[in-house]
Amino acid sequence: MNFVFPAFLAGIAALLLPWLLHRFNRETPPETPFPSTQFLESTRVPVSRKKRLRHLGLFSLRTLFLLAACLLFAQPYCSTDQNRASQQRNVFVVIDRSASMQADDRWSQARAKTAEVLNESQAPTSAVGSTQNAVQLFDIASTLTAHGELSTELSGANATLRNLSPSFESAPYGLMMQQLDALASRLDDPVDVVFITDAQESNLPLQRRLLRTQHIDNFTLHKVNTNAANLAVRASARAGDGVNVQVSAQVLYSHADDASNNSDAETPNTTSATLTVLAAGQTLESRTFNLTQGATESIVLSNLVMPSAAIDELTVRLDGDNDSLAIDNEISVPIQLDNPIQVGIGSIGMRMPEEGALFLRTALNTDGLARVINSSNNGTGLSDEASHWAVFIPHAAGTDVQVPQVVTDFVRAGGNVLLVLVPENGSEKSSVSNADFIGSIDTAHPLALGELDWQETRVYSPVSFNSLSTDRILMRTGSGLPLLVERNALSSIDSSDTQASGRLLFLADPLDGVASDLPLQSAFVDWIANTIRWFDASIAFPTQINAGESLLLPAQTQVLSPSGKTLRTLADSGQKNRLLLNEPGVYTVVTSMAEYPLAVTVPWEESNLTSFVEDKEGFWGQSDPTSSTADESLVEFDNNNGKNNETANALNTPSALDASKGRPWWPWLMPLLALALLAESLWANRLLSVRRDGV
Amino acid sequence: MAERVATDSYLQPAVLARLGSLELIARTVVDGALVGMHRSPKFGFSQEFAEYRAYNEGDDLRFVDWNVYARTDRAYIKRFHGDTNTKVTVLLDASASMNFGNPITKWNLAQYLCASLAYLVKKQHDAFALSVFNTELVSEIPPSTSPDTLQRVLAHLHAATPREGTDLVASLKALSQRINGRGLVVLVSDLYADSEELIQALQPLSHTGQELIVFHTLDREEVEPNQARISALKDLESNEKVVVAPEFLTGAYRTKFNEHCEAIESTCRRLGADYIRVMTDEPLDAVLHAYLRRRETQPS
Repeated sequence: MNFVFPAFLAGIAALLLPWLLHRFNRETPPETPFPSTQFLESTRVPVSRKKRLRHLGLFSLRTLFLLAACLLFAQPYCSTDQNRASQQRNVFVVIDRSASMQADDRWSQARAKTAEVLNESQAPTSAVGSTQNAVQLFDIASTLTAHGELSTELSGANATLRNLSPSFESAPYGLMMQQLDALASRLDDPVDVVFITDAQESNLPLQRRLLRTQHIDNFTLHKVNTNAANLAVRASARAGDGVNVQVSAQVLYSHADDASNNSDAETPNTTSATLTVLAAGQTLESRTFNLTQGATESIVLSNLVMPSAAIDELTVRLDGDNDSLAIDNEISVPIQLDNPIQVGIGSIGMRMPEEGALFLRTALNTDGLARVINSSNNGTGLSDEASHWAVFIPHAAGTDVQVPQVVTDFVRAGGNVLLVLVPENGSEKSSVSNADFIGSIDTAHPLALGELDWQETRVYSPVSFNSLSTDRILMRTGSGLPLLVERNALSSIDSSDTQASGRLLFLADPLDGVASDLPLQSAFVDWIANTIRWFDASIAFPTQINAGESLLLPAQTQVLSPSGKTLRTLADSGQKNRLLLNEPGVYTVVTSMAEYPLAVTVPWEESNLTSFVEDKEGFWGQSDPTSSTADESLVEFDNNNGKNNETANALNTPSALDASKGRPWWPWLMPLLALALLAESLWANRLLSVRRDGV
Repeated sequence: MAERVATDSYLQPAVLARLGSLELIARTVVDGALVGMHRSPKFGFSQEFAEYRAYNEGDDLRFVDWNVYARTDRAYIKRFHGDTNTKVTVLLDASASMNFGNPITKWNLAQYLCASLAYLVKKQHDAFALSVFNTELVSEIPPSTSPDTLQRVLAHLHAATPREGTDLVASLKALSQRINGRGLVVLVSDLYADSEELIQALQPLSHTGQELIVFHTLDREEVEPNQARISALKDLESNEKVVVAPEFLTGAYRTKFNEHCEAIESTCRRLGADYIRVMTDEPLDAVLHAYLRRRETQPS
């Protein structure tokens, strides 16, 4: 039996209290007034057997009560590992496969050590027991991956180990420990964990308690000892006009600083490095500087002139001595153009209304947010030149909105459209006295309509239309008519939730300044800006992610590797899903609208080779008193890794589950405590002749 | 001026109603200054014939028994017993032990008893005196027949509080020296004293011709204590604590206490005193009525 909070067991000292009470108060009779003691003789208190038993019973009950209370606070839990020393043990051997293991000969050291640990772990721990330990090999990159099953046979694990190679990903130590703890909680036999790693401080979780476990008996950390040093660079490039580029780079020099390594060669704390920016093999800029161990330096190279406008990526390289990890010395950086958002304005089924187009164009051009493309659409479709469109369509009052097919196709392909409904018979000028105001606003919508000042906006004759039940009314007039509506993923066309689609808004105002004074308000400009930003966010992709991270991709999107190979199958690209990118390089995300460069880099924490100091190792594998059970969400392995799923499924089989292991039984103390309290109260009242009538 | 106390505080109507037809008559001759209902040691003018005496010169001729003179030719004076009033002195024990009892304390019972006696005495136009004592004399009302005596007695009873210990023998000895003339002395106490010493204390009173009446006030709990468990009994006077077992209280204690009561009663009998045991849980009117009725019916 173990305790979650063993410190509360100190409360057992409180048992002294009932003992004192019963020891010293047992013979003190109640004091009763009496007229005279002339005829009284002091009596030696007779200790009858009956009375002693009664008091001992009460004493036992009180002791039980206190004991139960202490145990309740200490929260004991059952553990079935009473004779663990003689039991077969499960040994999880975990090898760190993060990017930093590529430094020097760390990987070969780690692999040799792992093979050694595998062989040692198989031998029975106790001389008494004759059964061999079951061993399972894991590796940790961005996720914990199991290789094979728990077995006393090592040939499979050794073969797997020979085929393993370090990845470009980072190894989250905290996540790994929680996953191992969750796996250990499902096993009958005690679990030992041996972890072979380069012990990077940058991979330690911010919350150190994540390193603690409950179900792991022994945790052994084998450090791969090298004095490896590393130079690393990461960068981004922006170009306002496509010719002059600004490169922002961060460089880092780090080394393991392993005091336990007895190597004679001492790694210097400062080093010289040269940062070079290349475009299509041509050096644009080169700068040399000194770096200090562990300090990240930021360097900005401005006004680099591109040799050709066709070049859309740069190579940033860091050279220097004392570098044993080459994978983060050179990075391909896509050039991000500071282009305004392309927005098209068009009309379908009608002539472009001049007033509405003018108001829209003015609002879009404000602050250079967007670049407007004029298009008098004739129904052949919306141009891919812009991903966002504002389209005027005619609408008969009081009818359903007939979304043109070209708009439907465009939105289904991921485009975003603001449909401006224009009454077929034109707006009627109403008197000011009939003006309506903006009524209710959906403040929870990302458009943040509630933050805009609609107070002076008057609506005279809004375009009435029938909204669907799935429509989200973002803004209503004071009389309750919908003014701005978001139609949910073209639900009227295709309700499949796997179908990626853009965003579609209806505005029940022709923006002619007659039906309302909405386009004349300053809030209109802010609203249009918010709308365009919201549209753009729906299709925006990150420009840079770490190796080992997955990218959420919408339907009809393809990803090309740095070598130009397609990474999504046709079936995958038909629906939205995640794609794991675990090798660095510049990928290309191709949508029906445009192509986006995506730089996958070595995780920055992997570039920092500083190893953690000894005292931080004390956290590993210790019992965590603050969490009674492992977070089940951590048990779930990454869906993109089939091997992990297989292991997880194998560990989920009933034979592997142990319902009693680690199960807390302190909740059962609660009724016992209540019963003891009740019995003690009744018993004590009876002994003390407590009258309930208050006399 | 004494504080005026509502008479119904200590004079219970039920008691007075039953005492209405009864009188507290002295069985012995008593000294009194006024004519009353008690026999005087002196010859007087009552209807009760006492003796003949030879006529001496100067005797009042009205008392000559002319019938005897006619038969014997000798003049004899006819003499009659004298009737006088008396003095009733109540000695009230106000020791702390009196402050015990249920449903009323012995002190309450003694207050009611004294008040009732004072009422009775007033009705008979006798003089009433009250001495409240514990270790010494606490307060005193000298003998008086004045109409406000009853009210003064009630005020005294109201003001007195039982406290401290008691030295019954010493107090009685001291009080016996203050009582002059023959009369009735009523002792109201729980009589926690040695019976032999009590004799020594009461004898002077008896020898000076006082008629003694002893009201022994008791509570049922002290006569038949019934503690369910071992208790530390605390003496109300000395604060001494004695741990006793219930078995002792139901056995040896009761025997001892009964012997004490019997010794007191025997002492009173030897002194010619009346001994009346009054329990707090008994109706006072019944006790008083029975006693006074017995006095009336029994010859002195």
